[in-house]
Amino acid sequence: MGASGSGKTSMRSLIFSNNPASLTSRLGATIDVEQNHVRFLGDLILNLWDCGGQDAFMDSYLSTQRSTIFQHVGVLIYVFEVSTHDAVKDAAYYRDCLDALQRYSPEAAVFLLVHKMDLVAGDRAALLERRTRELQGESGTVPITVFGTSIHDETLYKAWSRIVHTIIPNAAVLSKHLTTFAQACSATEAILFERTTFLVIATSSPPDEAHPEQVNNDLSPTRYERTSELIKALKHSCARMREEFHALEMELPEFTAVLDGMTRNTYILLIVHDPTIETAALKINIRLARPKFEELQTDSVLA
Amino acid sequence: MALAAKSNGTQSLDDSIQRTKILLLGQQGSGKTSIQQFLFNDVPAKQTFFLEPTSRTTKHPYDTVIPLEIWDCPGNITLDSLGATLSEFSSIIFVIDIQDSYQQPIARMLDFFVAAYQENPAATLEVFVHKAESLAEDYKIENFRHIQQRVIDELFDTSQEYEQMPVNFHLTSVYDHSIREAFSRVLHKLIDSLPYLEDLLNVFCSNSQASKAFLFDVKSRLYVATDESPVDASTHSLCCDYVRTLNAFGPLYKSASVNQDSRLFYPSAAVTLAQGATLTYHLITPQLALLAMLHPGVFEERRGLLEYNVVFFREGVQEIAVVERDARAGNL
Amino acid sequence: MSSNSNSFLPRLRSVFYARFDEYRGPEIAYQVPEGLIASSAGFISAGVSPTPSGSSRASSIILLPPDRSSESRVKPSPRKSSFSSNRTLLNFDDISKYIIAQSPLCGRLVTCTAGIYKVLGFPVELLGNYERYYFRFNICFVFDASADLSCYEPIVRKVNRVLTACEEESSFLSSPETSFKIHAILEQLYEDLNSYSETSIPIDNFNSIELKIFPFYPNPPPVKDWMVPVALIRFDNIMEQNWDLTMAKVCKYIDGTNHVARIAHLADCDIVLTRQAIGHLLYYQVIMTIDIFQYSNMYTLRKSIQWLADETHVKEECGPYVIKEGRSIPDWPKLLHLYSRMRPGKTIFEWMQDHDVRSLGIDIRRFASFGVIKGFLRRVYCWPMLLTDEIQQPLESKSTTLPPSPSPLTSRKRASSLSVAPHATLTRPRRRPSEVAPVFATVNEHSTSGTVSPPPRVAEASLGTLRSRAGPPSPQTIRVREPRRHSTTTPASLFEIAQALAGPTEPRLHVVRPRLSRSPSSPVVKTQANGAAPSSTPVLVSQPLAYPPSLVPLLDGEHHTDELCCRFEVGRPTLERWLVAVGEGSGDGDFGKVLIIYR
Repeated sequence: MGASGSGKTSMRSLIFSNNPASLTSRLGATIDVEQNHVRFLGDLILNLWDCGGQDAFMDSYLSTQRSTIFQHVGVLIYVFEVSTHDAVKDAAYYRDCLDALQRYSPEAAVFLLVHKMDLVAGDRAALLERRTRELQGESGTVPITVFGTSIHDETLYKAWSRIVHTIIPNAAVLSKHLTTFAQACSATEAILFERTTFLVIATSSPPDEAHPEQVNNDLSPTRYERTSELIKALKHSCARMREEFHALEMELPEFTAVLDGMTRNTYILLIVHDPTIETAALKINIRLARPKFEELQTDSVLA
Repeated sequence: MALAAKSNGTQSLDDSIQRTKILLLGQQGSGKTSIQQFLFNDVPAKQTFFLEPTSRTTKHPYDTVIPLEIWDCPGNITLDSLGATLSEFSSIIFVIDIQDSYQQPIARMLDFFVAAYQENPAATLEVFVHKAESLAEDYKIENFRHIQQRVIDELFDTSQEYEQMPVNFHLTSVYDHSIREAFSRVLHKLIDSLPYLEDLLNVFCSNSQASKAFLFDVKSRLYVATDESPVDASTHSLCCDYVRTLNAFGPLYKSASVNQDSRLFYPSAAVTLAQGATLTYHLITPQLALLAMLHPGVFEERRGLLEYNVVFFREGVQEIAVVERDARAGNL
Repeated sequence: MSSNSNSFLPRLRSVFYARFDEYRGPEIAYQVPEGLIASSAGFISAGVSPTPSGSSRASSIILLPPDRSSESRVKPSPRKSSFSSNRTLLNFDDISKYIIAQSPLCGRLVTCTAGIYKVLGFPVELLGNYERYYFRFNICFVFDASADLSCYEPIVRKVNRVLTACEEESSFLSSPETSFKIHAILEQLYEDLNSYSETSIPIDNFNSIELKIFPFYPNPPPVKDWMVPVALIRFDNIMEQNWDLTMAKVCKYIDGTNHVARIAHLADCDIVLTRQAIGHLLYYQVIMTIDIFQYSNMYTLRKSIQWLADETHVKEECGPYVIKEGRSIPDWPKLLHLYSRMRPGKTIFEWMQDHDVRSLGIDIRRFASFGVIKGFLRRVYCWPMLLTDEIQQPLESKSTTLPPSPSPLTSRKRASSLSVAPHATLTRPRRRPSEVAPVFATVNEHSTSGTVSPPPRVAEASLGTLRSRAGPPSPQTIRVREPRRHSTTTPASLFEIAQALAGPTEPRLHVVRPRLSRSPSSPVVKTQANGAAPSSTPVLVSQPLAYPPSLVPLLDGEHHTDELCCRFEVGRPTLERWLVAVGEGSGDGDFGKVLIIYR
């Protein structure tokens, strides 16, 4: 949910429909509620309700449709435009929505996206800080998570990865297995991505034995989101050629990496810093690990 | 190590060597600096919007297969204020905003072109009809044709002898790959060793079952040479995006703590597409990379042979580069 | 108020202009009369004109000031409270998703019913340089839920189309400088359409809305040359000088006996134009069509006789209409009895003979056409079909499109009536082995003894399988030629059943035998009234007659004898002789390889 023109549909189109950011300007306004069923990780079906933000719709969500809209909500994603034209009204609607959510789905996680950060000139971090404080104030006791996002960079992937992370059951188990797998491959890191959205599902925790704090701490902190964004862009270039992206391997001066399908619905990225390890070896390992991860995933989704 | 030495030498942008000069002209706000920054400084297309107008002529050196020097001029530059004779430039690019009224720019452009042609008939004269993204598909083709026709007509009106003037037109935009394509073509005319590079690529393609191969300048993502098969816009843009992805990936997982001995290391990468075709990437020189679109199955089954071919290709290109460098040094 | 002449047109309750606002969502920008459509959000009729009297419609166009400051809209107008009274017809919020609809509904007529009202709209979605890329609007018309809106459909479509054009050309709707004019347009639409059923509203220099409501009729069936038009009104009363020339000529010859081809001939008009003229009259329901009357025709009752027999308009009109002048009128039961004696397989001539109809002073033609016009009598056509090896193939392929047997299930239930059931449905040679060129049993219908020629068993058997294989038919594929007013799909009537029970029954009931045509025996032919054919006695045709070669391909069971007669401009007896010649039959009811199907 969020005010009109704050970028809800654009965001959805970018993450779930594989459209590039440049095309989002062609999206029309959402009429009422557009419901989308997104198959995530194969068997987990996300039911996205993209709610039109115009006043007439908002009023109706809060009155006649109140119980329909706010019933059985797993996650509320409320989008704020960073430079809104009517902050008071936005806040009022947000409070009302939060009230309704507390009443009908008190367990729902609340994520607030301060969107269109790319339009901000100047100190984005400070602005986000300030907005976060304001929103925290508006929300009262409800625990919220605030992200500053933009469809033109990786911040959106970061926010959405965190959001889906709360939905995926057993994410910890996946992480544990990824860690084991990464160690088996002598990989610095193993990252599991969802196949269609390329959102991060799980990552291996840093290997404890060899270089405990060094290795991971000096990797770029935004690497997951950047990877999502880059691969998604590459996928899109492939799609323009009517080709389909399948796998990627790199032997760069800095590191060796293999990106390949893991299960039917996931991709794995292995990052290896040891130059003596061949990509072929990593690929074999991935192939061998596949059945185990298929099994794990089935368990985790069913659980 | 020869390669290391060479790379050190070129990276310092040695002024002692003769650079091939490219002159960027055009009205104020037509997008000269945008083009230069977008191509050679990796400025995102959207950000070019915020560039300040150029107030004085700036020279941007750039090293690729040949050393270049790009002169970015302010919009109001005249022949006199240029501070150099036109004969120094191997290529003159005039940028026209597709939406502007083009009467005045064309008149100015012709002044420059005629002068350049008289001084140095060998110079290539290029017209970039720029900001093509701002018009709808039909309009931009129509406008492009119109500008082209008008320039030719006026040249003819000025004097019959200019009918033979080699003016090339390109429809460009920084929002897609057309500017890279156009600049690549400009570049091709400046590379004396181009036929040899192309021969190498042709041999590589036929021996490695590659349907298409490009020699890309890694940083600017211009292609300096390709094989003889026609360039398909979608393949070209995929390759551009691919190189960009790889460039971006590098620093992402860079680990300062792991120090590699990268002297003998040529990075490579491969992306597999669904139908089994593979797009491979092999760094050839510090600036150039070979991108090849391989037929399905080749990469998996004959990887050794492929890499063997790449080694030979690399040696060939490096030899050409050495000759080129010596020639330029000798020109001094 | 609506004038009397147009009282059949639905009354327009309200007209409103809804649009999608970037920030407020769907809203009613203007409505006439005001305040009838409630909107809970409180932004009703935001830019409402300050001149509440909507009567001076022409002048108000210019006078209306643009009252569009956003303040005035966000504040609930003071009048709002009065609007929310029980005057309101419906609540906009309930239906807004059908008025400002999602893309798939745009560009289509959308009708939605809310309570006792019905809203007819045509949501428009315009791509363009708008803040949210699309501009959406809809001019909606509100009627009573019971109203038939078919005549308004083109109106709503056109209004929205014209405004779309205006918006595309000059941003008429989206620009604040011009959009207030919509209110005046709505007022004029509301007043004019209700009062005069037509309007003409200039919008700008290039566009105007020109509307006229036409009553909406369904398209008539295509006019065929053998149809006989019957006037339902008197043409002389309405005939005018400036009528269409063909129409004027054609009308003169519509007398209930001339068929279309003959009218064209008599009026000296092109046949195509004549057909069109007749079709036009049919469209306005001032004529209807019946069949050509001939003594060789067969008729059967329709199911509708069950209720029509008791209708006073049938009972009372029948006698005076069918009895020749100066004769006493028999009572209705007597006439009804006569009607009930008409059966497939029995020609009018035979029926006359059997019941001595002539002595009653009945005009036979009028008698038959009365039944057809009233809709309880149905012509049984003869569909000749040539069974030869050469045309087997095309027939086979065609058999899929051929109508299946009419309701074999029901037929089976009342198996005893089947021998009387008129539609010789099973005669489709769908899968006939090449060895069989079956000669069907000729059953002389009205003789109780039934001279049955020995039927080939193979044919019987194959027909049996065919019948059992025939799936349940879909009613719409049954090609029963019916007068258009009634759509009884099971033509078998109670009378037929009664008849069947009383009459002779075939021993093998599940196989309905086709009854071949009674031979055109000489007396019949001689007494035929249509006089088109030179009477001859084709009792024994020994040598083949010359027939037009183009006749043969038409013998595929899809062209009935009236059509064939019309096409070759010959009378029935000639045609029958030709058929005998084509089928190499022996005449006298034996057409050889030509099979006659009665339906």
